[in-house]
Amino acid sequence: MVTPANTISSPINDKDNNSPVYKNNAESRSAVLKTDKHCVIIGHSIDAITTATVMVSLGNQVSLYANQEELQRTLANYTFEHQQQALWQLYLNQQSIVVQSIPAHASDLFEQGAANLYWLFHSDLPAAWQQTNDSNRPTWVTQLNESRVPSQTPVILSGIHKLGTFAAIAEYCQRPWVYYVPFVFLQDGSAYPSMLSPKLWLMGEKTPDSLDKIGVLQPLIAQAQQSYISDIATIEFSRSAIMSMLATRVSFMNEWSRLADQQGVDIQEVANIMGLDARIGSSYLKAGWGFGGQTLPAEIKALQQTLQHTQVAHSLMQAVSLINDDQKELIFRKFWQYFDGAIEHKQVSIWGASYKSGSGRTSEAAIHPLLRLLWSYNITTHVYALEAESELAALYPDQPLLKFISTPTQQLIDSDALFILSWPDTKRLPINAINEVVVPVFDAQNAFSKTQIQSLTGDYQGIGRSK
Amino acid sequence: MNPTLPSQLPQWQKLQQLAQHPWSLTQLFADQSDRSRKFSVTVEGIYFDYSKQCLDQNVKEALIELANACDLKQKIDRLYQGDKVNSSEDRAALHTALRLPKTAQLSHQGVDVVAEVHDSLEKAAVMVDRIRNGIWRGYSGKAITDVVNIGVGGSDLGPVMTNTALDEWADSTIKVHFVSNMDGTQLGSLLERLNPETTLFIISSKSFGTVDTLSNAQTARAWLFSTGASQATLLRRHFIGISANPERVSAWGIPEDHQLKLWDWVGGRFSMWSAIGLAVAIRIGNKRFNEMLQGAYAMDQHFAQADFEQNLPVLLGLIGVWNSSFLEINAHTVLPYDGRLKYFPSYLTQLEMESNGKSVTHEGQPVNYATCPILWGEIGSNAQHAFYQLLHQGTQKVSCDFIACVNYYQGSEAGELKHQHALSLANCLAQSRVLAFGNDALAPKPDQAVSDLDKFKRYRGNQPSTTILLDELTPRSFGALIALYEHKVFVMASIWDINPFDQWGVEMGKQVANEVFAHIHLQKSPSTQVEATDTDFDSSTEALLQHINKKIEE
Repeated sequence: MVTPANTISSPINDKDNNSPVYKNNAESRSAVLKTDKHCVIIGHSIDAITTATVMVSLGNQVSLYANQEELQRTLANYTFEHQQQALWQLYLNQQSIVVQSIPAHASDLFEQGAANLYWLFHSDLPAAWQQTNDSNRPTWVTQLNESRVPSQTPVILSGIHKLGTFAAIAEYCQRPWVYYVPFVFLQDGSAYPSMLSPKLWLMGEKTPDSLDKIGVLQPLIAQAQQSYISDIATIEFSRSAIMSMLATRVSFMNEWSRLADQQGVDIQEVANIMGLDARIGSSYLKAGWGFGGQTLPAEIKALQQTLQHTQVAHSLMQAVSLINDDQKELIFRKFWQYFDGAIEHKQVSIWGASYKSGSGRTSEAAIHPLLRLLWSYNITTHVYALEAESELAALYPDQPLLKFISTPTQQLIDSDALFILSWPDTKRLPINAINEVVVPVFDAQNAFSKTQIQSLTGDYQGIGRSK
Repeated sequence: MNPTLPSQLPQWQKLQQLAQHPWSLTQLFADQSDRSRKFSVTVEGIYFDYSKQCLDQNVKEALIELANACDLKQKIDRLYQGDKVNSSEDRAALHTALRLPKTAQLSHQGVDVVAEVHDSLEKAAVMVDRIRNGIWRGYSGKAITDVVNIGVGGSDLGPVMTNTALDEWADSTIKVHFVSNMDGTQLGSLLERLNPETTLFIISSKSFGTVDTLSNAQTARAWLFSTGASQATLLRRHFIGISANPERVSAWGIPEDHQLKLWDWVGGRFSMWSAIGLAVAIRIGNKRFNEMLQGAYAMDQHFAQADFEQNLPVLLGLIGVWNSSFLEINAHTVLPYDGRLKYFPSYLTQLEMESNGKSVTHEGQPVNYATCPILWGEIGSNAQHAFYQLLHQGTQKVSCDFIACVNYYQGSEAGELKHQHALSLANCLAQSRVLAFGNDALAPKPDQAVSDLDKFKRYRGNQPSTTILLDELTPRSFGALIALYEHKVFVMASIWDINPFDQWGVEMGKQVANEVFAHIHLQKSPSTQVEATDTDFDSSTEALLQHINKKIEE
């Protein structure tokens, strides 16, 4: 039974904001008991929220147990996920999704034992749940094993951890129907459709050939362009290998971009040529400031944690990481060299801040090292990044050198340089406005086309390309 | 009328008489069961055991009487308040001001010394943060990865020693290197491994005229200029100058805002607390560096305030005087049983021998007593396999300082290392015991047969030693330890009436080197070209020069 202390007891049905509608215990129980397709989802990340929405779309009733503050933060940070947000609000209003505070002890949640499916987003679980005992078994697993949750109820795990983590957890679970679903399909800016019709669906199963036990996921598998089911360890390994390969391609191109600079070749054009080779393909070949966001950096970190306890040589992945870290400040160095180090007290405009255009997230994005370096030289930074503005404002509340601008060209006339970090592919670059002030452009995203570069009257420096 | 030499004081003569006593450590311990309690002091986490010195309460009291007769207390006060205790150079020696807290007050010649010191330390701290945080950039915009400290003597030995001692507090990935050799050996091999884009040089020289330092600095500058980058940018982004002579630093090419100040009232060998410690602060951070200063300040306070009977630096200094001037022990060895203090003996060779290797009084009168003994040292456990043979069975009397840390490897995963540390401590105590008591240290077994080898196994014993135990080595305790030895030097100099703050003995060699340099037929850079003058060298030097020039010309 969920204890009253662990639930929010003030039902708010405010249609004008995106706040989750919280239910008290009695209400939530009556809501969830209406259906026999009841899923319990535990987590607060965009993966968990998207899953809740998709599961309701597939005809399920969802109880989402989440850290309320984190959940609010996620919702606030992903306002750019328009479809996801609209459906979320709709389902809350319909009470198809009921949000409850995650209890301090897993046993309080599992005690109820009424759901038809439990889906746990492992990175979102409270520390007390993840605490391991002597045999390295997380507390929540022990409490699940001791709970009234029928052993035939399927449990799905998701998240990024050291290799073998989920396979081990599945073994600890004293139940046959345990699955692992890595979110390799989720795309920022289109979270909901990318899960509903995934490009690649991977799933690990503890018990071979047990797909029929989670019929609720069948529509997703059926919609997937590609899908593969295997044992959990293999799927974990494959997830890590896929992500590491993508990261490697990015760092490879970024390393080559430096050679391109030295040779006077446009790396963007080279990437286009490479993409023509079917053996290579065109994805993840764009040189820029590196990779950020949550997934790839988390994956590389998890891999490093796996490798550091082994004797397996991993110089390639170390290099991938080093190149990526260094790449994030490469554009600063180009700016530095342009002014021969005399950069103190300048003013610059920066277009874009998120880790990819269209996203409002700046996690592991180049904006942070760039701002830190610019501010350390007393440079005023005029940032145009509408989606990411609230996140930056929250991160740097007391930084007088951080100024937000509502239009990209607002401060160009006063700027000594223009940085491009994240400019949407679909939006036209205001070349004429740049040319009016003849400001040097430092394009960390390689957002400018070759023609656009040629049309600039001022100087241009990209990553592996220049005017 | 005051006697002109301290040896003419009745207190000195009393000690001379006491020194005639056939001092036996075995007997002293036999006579006094609580000797270790009576002859030990604990201050600032330092347990100081001098019970294995050849002295008793009478000697201790007589030494303190001598200290009083030599106005030691007044001399300490004069030192601290900035009087010109460096008489031959007419300067103060205010190294204690370098670790005064910001709230302290001290003015020297109308200047607020505390404010000056803290301005310099704060300027250094800003540089340290910028370097450590990757904000300080080289000419190409890359962050600094390597710092090379170019200096010699006090601009090298102190930072090198501290950097090694406090390495476990180093929390920066920036590597710090030290270059001092005039011949370029260190710098040459180092430059092969370094990237000019990411290397920063600290040029430390109080006068900014030391040929050793400037020759290395010039090589470093030429190495950077060979990159082809703008020389102004290279000088601005790759050099920090630390000196008491800003005009020379500016003339050399380092911009003013990358200069850190020294003062003529700080001797080089006492300067590691100032900006000279910049390389150390880069490794361990400003917080730890300040903790080191606080430890030194705590020892300063103790030195200034504690009664002589319980005053660590006073006792250490007086014991040094007793051994050298009265017991005629002309050699002293420092034996840290801790690898972190590897360079401490080298540091002390300069601190003690350059300070007190003097033979005239403040008034220039020759002394008629032994002053500073020859000092050397090594990590104790290594020295056991090197020169301990001489300590145990040689013909020389040698006094020793054993230094160890009680706690080490506090981490739970350090089981084997803790075992090694305990082994090291055991050896430290065992060696001081054997040195003190010789064969008596080991009780003979009743049925032990007498062997022909016994005459070679004879341990004479009676080598006096002090054992200094630090609770643990931290920046603070390390600062206190160094300050302890600085003040020991001052105590000894105060008794001997010599000036510990000048070093005229190293000057003449520099002058003669300039003359000789001009006669070596090597192609020299324009800036080092010296016109050879007609000089009458001795026949040995003439022959050596001829040999060198002949080989060069071949």
